[in-house]
Amino acid sequence: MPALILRTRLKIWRRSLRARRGLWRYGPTASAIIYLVVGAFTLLFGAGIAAATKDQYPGRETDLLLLPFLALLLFVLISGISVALNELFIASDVELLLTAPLPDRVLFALKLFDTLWPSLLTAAWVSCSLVGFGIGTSAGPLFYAAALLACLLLTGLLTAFNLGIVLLLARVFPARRLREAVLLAGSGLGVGVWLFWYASSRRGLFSQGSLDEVSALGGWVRWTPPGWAASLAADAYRGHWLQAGAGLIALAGALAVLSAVAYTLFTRVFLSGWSSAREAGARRRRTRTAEPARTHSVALSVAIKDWRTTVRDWPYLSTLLPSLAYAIGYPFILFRLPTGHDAAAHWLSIAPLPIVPLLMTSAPALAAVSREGGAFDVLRAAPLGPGGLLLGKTIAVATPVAVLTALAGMALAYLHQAPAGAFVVAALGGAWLAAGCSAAGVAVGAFQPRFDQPVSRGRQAGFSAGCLLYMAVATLFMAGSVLLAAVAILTALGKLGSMGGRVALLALGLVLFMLGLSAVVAVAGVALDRLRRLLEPSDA
Amino acid sequence: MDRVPAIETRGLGKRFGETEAVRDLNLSVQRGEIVGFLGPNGAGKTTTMRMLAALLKPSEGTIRIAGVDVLRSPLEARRVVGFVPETPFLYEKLSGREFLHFTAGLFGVRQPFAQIENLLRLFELDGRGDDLVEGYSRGMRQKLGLAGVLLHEPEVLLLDEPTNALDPRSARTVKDLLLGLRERGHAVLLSTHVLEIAEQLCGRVAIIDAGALVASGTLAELRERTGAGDASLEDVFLRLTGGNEERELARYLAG
Ligand SMILES: Nc1ncnc2c1ncn2[C@@H]1O[C@H](COP(=O)(O)OP(=O)(O)OP(=O)(O)O)[C@@H](O)[C@H]1O
Ligand SMILES: [Mg+2]
Repeated sequence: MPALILRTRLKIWRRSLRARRGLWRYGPTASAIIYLVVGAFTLLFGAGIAAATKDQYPGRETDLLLLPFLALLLFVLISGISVALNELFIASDVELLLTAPLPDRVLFALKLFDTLWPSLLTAAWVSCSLVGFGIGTSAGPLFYAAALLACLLLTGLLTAFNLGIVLLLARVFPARRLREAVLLAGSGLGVGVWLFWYASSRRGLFSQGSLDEVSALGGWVRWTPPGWAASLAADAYRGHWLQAGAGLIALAGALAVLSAVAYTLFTRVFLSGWSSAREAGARRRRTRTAEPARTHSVALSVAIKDWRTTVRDWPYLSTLLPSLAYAIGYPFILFRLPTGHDAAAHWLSIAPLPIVPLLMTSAPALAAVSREGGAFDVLRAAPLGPGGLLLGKTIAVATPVAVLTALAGMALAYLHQAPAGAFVVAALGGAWLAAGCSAAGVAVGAFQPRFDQPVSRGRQAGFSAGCLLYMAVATLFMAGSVLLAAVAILTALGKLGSMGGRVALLALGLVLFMLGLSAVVAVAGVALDRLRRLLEPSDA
Repeated sequence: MDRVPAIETRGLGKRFGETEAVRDLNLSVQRGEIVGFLGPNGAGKTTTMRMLAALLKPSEGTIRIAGVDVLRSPLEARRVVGFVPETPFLYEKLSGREFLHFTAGLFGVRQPFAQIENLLRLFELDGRGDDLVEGYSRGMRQKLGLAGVLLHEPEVLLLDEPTNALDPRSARTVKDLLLGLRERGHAVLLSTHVLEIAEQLCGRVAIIDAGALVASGTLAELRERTGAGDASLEDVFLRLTGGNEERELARYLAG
């Protein structure tokens, strides 16, 4: 029976791959290549760090080895919980499996496998850094075996833990909402860790200080599974086989206990959690929307609909959150006011502002049309033209981005005590740049919308051709505006000496400005044509 | 003006690769008329309706809705057509009330507020109007989809199995509503597998099988054509769509 299920799944997966058209067919190959490249990079990184610290801080292997296992813990706990929720309570095949006369253990094993599988990819990636450590410190062959075994056991243990937690939680909270909350919290945590990492790497990663921080942490992590895994690997590295055996027993024992607990929970509470997950979803809006006295235009209706659905769609929000945080975080972390304070230096504080709309817009704008998904038929059944749709989507994206950019700009100006003029330029200029970026991004996103898979992280992460095109158009659009603003500011400050230079810069700015504007208009034109065809009667 | 049929198709056909879902369909529905669109599963009813609603491009033939050529000006056709699919297109993360306001905006309905409240009350959704659609039952979704379409009072209504998931009370509401619309001169094309509904509501029925129209007319005309005496619509339907084998099969299965 399990073999039949796995075979059927494989068949479905192969069909869906074969059904892909055009460039999408290379998606899996591309992600495999990216995965391998990232793995190789991690391996080299691990080898480099290990080789560097080996001489500098001898005897600190456990602390160093703790890092990959902590990373594994973080990734598997965060992503694993939502995967487990999905596989147990939301995935489409559960209903079918439940109606078949499958024994509990088969169903449990199947779901354990489904939940484990994505984490194994993470584990493989973490293993790369462990192998890197081995190479960097020229460890013996048994180190590799022990490290990989530790990695595998820890992954299994965390997966069983996730299953247990999810089974318990879903007993109390509806699974769907829980998963949305976990996704949102997970991406928030991920962003926090990344920014912390980034900020701390500026004062030197793997300095004595940060290694001390890790070993301080290691003091109490020592008695938790990642600590056991780290000491198993470290003891194997040093050739202390007895201690390594103790670590191995601790890990394997914990895995056995947690699996047994998860299985018991599964047999006891899975069905009730499942049925409460079915009831979930009904969420009452407490406030009745205060209705304005007039009807909105088509474009505004679309924009309002998008705002409402966006703030309630936590999984979608969680895909936007990272780019939002980086966009706002970067200029604040990156920018240091140069010393030698004169007026111009204060104005410089708003110079990194274009980064904000550029990074912030890409995810929501490129997904703006795609995210309609199956509901695109609502729009197709209505007398809605491509212009109204494109305008509505652009308003929907541009408004929040413009507000956030303006606020970020004013915050930058405030932080570096820029003159009053800088506040005005930051607010108005920021809003203008945001509008241009949004228009470009929404238009590019309409070139080849994917209604079957409206939101995918890979698409937004910047690997797609659409993302590159958006970056190019948006950068071109901003270049002219920024140059013109810079010329105006420098002239006002009396920094642009010669008349000739001023005129030349002004002319260059104007040319760039017109070029950027035409680029945006051009992509909008293509998008209008694409949308017109999408809204027309279709072939299938 | 009234001479122009509300729906008129000529030689309408649709192929999906090898499958001929609809072929050479000539259908006409007048204003003030409810036409029942019957046929076995996979006969091509939904496909036809999607073409009429300007969602699907025909492989051949022409469609005129209230005199508008659907292929040439789909937007104009959509303005006068209201299409309710079997499972309505809705936004999960909007509340029912918000969805109706959104629809009003899309169709440019002026002053929709009283109308929206009326429709919610009519379909007994007023208590759940502020709940998100994701928590709606199948019947509630169907009613909300219908309300969204009725909001802009289309001249031509295309309803694909509208009473499928409805409780008896709501089904009755829909029936009364359709009769009211007929009085006011709207045209309705209604596909259904519930022959009772067709008998009660439809002045005429069109029966389609394997993509081709096999009969159309009033119930009396169809009886006459099949020589079925005073048989029920069910008998007529089975006779026209070759139901006798099925009946024998059923008898065989029953042992
Ligand atoms: N998008 C599509 N691609 C390929 N074939 C299709 C598509 N849509 C419909 N068909 C085929 O067209 C034929 C008619 O389907 P249609 O949905 O119109 O039937 P129906 O009369 O509505 O049936 P039911 O009573 O079950 O709703 C079927 O053979 C179906 O398989
Ligand atoms: Mg159908």
